[in-house]
Amino acid sequence: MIHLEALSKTYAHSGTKAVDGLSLDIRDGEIFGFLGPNGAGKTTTIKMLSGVLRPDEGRVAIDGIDMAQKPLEAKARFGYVGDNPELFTRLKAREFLNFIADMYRVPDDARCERIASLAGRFEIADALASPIGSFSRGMKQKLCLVASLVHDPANWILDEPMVGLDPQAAFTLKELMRSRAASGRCVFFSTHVMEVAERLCDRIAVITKGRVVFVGTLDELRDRRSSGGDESLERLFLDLVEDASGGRV
Amino acid sequence: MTAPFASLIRFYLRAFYGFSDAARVPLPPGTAAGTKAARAKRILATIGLALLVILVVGDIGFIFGASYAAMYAALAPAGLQSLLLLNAAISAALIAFVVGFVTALSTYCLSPAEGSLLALPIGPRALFGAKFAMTYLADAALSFIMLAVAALVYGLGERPPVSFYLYAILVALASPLVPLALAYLLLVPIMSVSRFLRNRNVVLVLGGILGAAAALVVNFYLQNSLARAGDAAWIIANLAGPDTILARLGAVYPPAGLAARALAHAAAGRQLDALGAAALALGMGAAAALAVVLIFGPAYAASLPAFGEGRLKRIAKSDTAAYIERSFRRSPQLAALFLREWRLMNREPVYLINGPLVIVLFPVIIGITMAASPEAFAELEGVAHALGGGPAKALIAAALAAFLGTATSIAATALSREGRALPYLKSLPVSARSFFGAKLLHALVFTSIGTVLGAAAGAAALGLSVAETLAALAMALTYGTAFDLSALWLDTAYPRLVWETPTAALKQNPNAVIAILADMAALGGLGYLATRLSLGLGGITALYAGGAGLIALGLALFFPRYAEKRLGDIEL
Repeated sequence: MIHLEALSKTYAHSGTKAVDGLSLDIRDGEIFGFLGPNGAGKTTTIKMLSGVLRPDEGRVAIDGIDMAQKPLEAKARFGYVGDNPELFTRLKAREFLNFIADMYRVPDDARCERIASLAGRFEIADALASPIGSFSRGMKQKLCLVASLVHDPANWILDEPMVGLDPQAAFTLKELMRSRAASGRCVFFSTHVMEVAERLCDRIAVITKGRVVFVGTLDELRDRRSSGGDESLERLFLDLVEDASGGRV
Repeated sequence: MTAPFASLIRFYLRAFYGFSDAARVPLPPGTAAGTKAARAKRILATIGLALLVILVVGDIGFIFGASYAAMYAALAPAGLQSLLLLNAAISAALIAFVVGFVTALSTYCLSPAEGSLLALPIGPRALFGAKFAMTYLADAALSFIMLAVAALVYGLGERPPVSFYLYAILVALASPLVPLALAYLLLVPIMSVSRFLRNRNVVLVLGGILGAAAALVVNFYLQNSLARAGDAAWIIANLAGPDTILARLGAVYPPAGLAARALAHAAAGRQLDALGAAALALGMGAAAALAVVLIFGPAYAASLPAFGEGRLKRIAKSDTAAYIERSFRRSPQLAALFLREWRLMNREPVYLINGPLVIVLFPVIIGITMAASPEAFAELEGVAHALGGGPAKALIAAALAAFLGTATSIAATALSREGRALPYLKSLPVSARSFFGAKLLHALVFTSIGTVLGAAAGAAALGLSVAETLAALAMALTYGTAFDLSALWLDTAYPRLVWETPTAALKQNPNAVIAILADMAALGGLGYLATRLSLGLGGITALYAGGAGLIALGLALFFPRYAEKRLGDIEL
């Protein structure tokens, strides 16, 4: 369960207000899609949500634990896949996964079992002895996905997780998202791919210029747009963003 | 709009030196980067860099100047002073070849992504030409200093016309062209046929080892020159006459002979002869460079893509379960963080060579210096004696140990080295205390190794007693701890996190330069202070080890709180 309350962030270096009074509640057992055009504030929101950036205003709580008050406890409650899979290329995949498992204090048996299962599903088990630097972009992304689940978190936060994945891995990821949500866990991810959001998400939020302009189900979006029920999410999304931008996308 | 070739050279120079156009590009008003404070900071950084360049150039210039002045004094009475110019031209060419080869090797492929330049509408010869130009600019500096200093020494003694200095600049700029062309003439075919060498790690390690070896050769040459500076008979015997090495090298390497002749003619006022010789020297250099670029451009471009190839080692499918079973074991969080620091530092050739390996390299350089001029040992003893005996020897050993222990730049670049991985690390449930604790521990391990090695070397060289050795060790270790904490604080306050190659995180990191300069200043200051205090071994050890220990304790007490806040504030 993720709670974001009136989050705002202005970058000190550029003076850009990236997120402006954003509030969201993501429930357990749902897949929540976070949509928005480039530069809308998706990654900034995810970074605040994952404790990477400190909000100027507002509050983040993971399973009721306040990120500002108890950051380590809050961080232990989620798995995070960031927007940059180019991590620690000098480490071997095994060393990276062991390191992440150590950070979450995962016992030996559990880490072996989860890594065997996840690395098998993403088809990187045979590459675990290799340096990450020798991996392709997609393999690095798969490795980050495996690492994010090594402690079997209650919440899964992913920033553009489909980027670089082959169709098989993208399918596996979607299956994993569904199975985690079905077992009562929370999945929060950002994406540009409307088809993925349309087929996968229980609810979506659309953000543009740092503000949430819609939260709800796809049907609710269609009702709100009075579109007659058969318009694609892509069309609805573009209309929504165009309206929020004052007629320009 | 800039021509593609010029733009390519600028791109390579930026990638190699970490230059930026920040000073030229107008920043948006109202942004933090555009404020007066930010501009003042950039100007200050530029002034600092300029001072550093002056310091380095002045240092090198002084060494060559002293050597050439002695050479001139020995040769002038016999009327052989023009041999000084030939010596400088040959030495500059030799050093240009050694430094040029190492630079060309290390920068052959600056990053695996360089292969993507081939997708641009740029011909292979233009690509190679731009790389050649970049290497030339890096290489030309040293040979330029050598020839400029030689010309100055010669000019001060001979009072030549102004044109002499113009010719000196001309031949100095021409001097590295042929050596560099030769370096690429060797390198491109080797890279084209050797699959093993077309690997960035191999190139970086090999470049590092050859670079260290080249530095040792240059160091030996300089030390040897300085040691023989006062020996006029040796200078004449080795420089004058048709059978000397100098004469033979001059004969087999015409560009150096032409450069020396151009300068000698210019000094004597024979302008036409000078122009002819200089034009020939420059023409030979330009022709060699052009020929190599034109002939080897396609081969160079063809060898680049291999640098981006990954080499994945697959485990047999049937073995993966057993591999996972035996490979994944839990470690304490701090141990895992430390191990990550250790592996990432030691596996990145740029970090290893310019960090931990310095502990090995410095003693080798000192050893070579001592081998070149054994009297330096006696001088060291003399310095200790001049300082009034007592704890002076222990202090010298302590300074040596402290400098060796703090020369790795590990603490001063600890946060910068994380680069764009920092946001990911911040998402993990790790306290700032553990995160920075592992970094400090990593730095302290190498500080301890360097300190012990330095103290042992100092004790052996100066014949210290056990008590003196332990005192030196205590002073150096406490100093090293305080230094590491200060350097870590510095890099936490001003980390350089946005970089494309690891070189920028360590070698081009201002924090590493500031730390090493502050280190030298602090050690020098403490040495001077010791001469004013007139304390015994016990007193000076208590004062310095106790003082450094207290500073370290203070830093250790206040740093975690600062680090936690600072880590939270960093936006990337």
